[in-house]
Amino acid sequence: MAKIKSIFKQIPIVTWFVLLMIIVFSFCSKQYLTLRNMRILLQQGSVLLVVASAATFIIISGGLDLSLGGILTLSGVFVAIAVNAGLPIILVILIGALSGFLCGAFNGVIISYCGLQPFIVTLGTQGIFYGCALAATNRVGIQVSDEKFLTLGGLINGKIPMAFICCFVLYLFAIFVQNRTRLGRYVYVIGGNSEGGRLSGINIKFWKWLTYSFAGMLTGLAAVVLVSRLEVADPLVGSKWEFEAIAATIIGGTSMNIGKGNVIGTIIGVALLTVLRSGMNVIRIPSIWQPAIIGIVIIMAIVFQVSIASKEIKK
Amino acid sequence: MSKALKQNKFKLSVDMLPAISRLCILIVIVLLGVGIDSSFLSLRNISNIFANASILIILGIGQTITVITNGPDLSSGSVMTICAVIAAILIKNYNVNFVIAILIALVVGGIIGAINGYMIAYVGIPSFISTYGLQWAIFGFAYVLLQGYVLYDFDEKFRFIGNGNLFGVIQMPILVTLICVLLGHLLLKKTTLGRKCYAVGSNRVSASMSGINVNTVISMAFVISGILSAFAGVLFVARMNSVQSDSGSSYLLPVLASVYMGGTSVSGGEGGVLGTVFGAMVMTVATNCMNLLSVPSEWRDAILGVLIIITVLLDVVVKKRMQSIKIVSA
Repeated sequence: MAKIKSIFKQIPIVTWFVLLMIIVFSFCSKQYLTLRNMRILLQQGSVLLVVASAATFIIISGGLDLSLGGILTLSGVFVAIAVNAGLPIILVILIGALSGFLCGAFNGVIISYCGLQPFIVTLGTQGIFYGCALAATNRVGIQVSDEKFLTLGGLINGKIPMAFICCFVLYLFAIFVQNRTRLGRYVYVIGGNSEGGRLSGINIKFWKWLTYSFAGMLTGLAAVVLVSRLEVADPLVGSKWEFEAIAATIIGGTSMNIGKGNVIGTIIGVALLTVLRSGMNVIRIPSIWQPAIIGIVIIMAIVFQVSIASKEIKK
Repeated sequence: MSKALKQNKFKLSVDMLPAISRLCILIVIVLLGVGIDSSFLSLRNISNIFANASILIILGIGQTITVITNGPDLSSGSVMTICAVIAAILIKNYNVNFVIAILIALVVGGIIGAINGYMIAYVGIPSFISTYGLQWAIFGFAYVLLQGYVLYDFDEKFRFIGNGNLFGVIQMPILVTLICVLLGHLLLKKTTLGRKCYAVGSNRVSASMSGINVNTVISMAFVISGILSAFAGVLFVARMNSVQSDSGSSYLLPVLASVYMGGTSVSGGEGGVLGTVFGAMVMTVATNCMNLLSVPSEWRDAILGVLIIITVLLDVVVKKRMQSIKIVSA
């Protein structure tokens, strides 16, 4: 009995909140808890899952990346251009990963080697990336119609949610990197005790740079799936993504200044945001109210999570 | 003796470096402006530039106070928007006297600032996450209030503060801005609250040990920033004669750029309102130049982003240099 209790205690409180929301929504509408709706939910939440995993790496390292939405947008534009140029899918995926990597590396160089504060650098690069995306597309979305490419993010036979499968593979990759590689370990060192890490011979600057580059690469790969799912590379699609990714990370239990948390927890934060968004349509909240309500709920969830965490530290 | 004197002179010039480098930036941009348009330095154009900078300066004063105390207030653009929307709706749809409408808007700004202060000081969320998050919620509410419409065409009396001429010479926004700058400067330099802001910003632990209630000071800084953002919103409506649910979103990057360009340190505890005024002037002159050169609007944000990063980078590099020089000379 005690064992079960301890297992229950390990599950974050937010999980129960997500379950409660699902129960309430399924009482409100019979169509909510159907297989079809669940597939749509998985498709919608999938890209956020990858971007939030990227944000988790950065936040564990004690940093912040407000340009993830910009990276997502810019990589998406590059991907769409590559697809329309008729390149094979492997090359398209590589281009997505590479453009994301380069954007992240740019952030990383300035933050790590020049020693500027992450939020101001990434706020600046956010402007740069959006500006480049807008200029490259002339403010109009680039349509994508390559059949093969669209299978990456579509529903195969109307049943298999490919976007979710692709993103889940990327998510597993992020978990693997976190648990089984040096980068994953060092991220905690950078966030928890970078001076101690430096004294024990870790090249902190390099690994910090790599953290931002890796997060950029994950976001670039997410952009491939996003473009394939939406069938268009929209230069305005990325706004708010970085905040939702950061919010999902924090709601998922990652702490901002003590090198604590993991990618596995982040999925709960993503689930909360996705379930909330879909449920608002189910209980018929007018669309004009939805951005405000989502914003308020996210803020309250962050306040709740942070105050719980600080209570635990005091204990 | 002469060696010591030389050293002293050298130290003086090192301390002046940031100010000199900023002055150079302004001179370069002004020269560029004169090169593009010969009427750039005419009295009329200069007075227009000052008037155009007014909203940026007022937002910047609040931003400066929060950056000195704790960290940036990324919600200031959204607070400005929702207060502009509230004032506009009260005046337009409910025929409220404009003085009362402005007061209500300022109160709303103060309340939002208090929410920010609570989240940052008492809950302990970093300011750049809590204020960044709150801005999306606030923009959402502005959208709800306006239902997607645009409000325009306001009463002449109300528009006087943003558009009028006093005695036919001084533009009202310049006068209003000057008063705000003076008050902000006095607040930071001459009141206990202002001195406490610097103390909290430069070293929170020692400030709290010397008996300053750190949480109250941080909250007050954000409340003041909220009120000033609200006032900027009112001025925006009066000046532009229209308001939309995303009017303030384009102010976030320019405001931060002007604050950092004005020499307020990213890590807090350093800087002042007068520097921000200078930064805002540089930003406005630069925008003026971009308009004259007809730079496509797509590139605006990118240019601003580059500008912010370069300014902060320069600041850090110069500081490192100064530190190493000081160590060597000591």
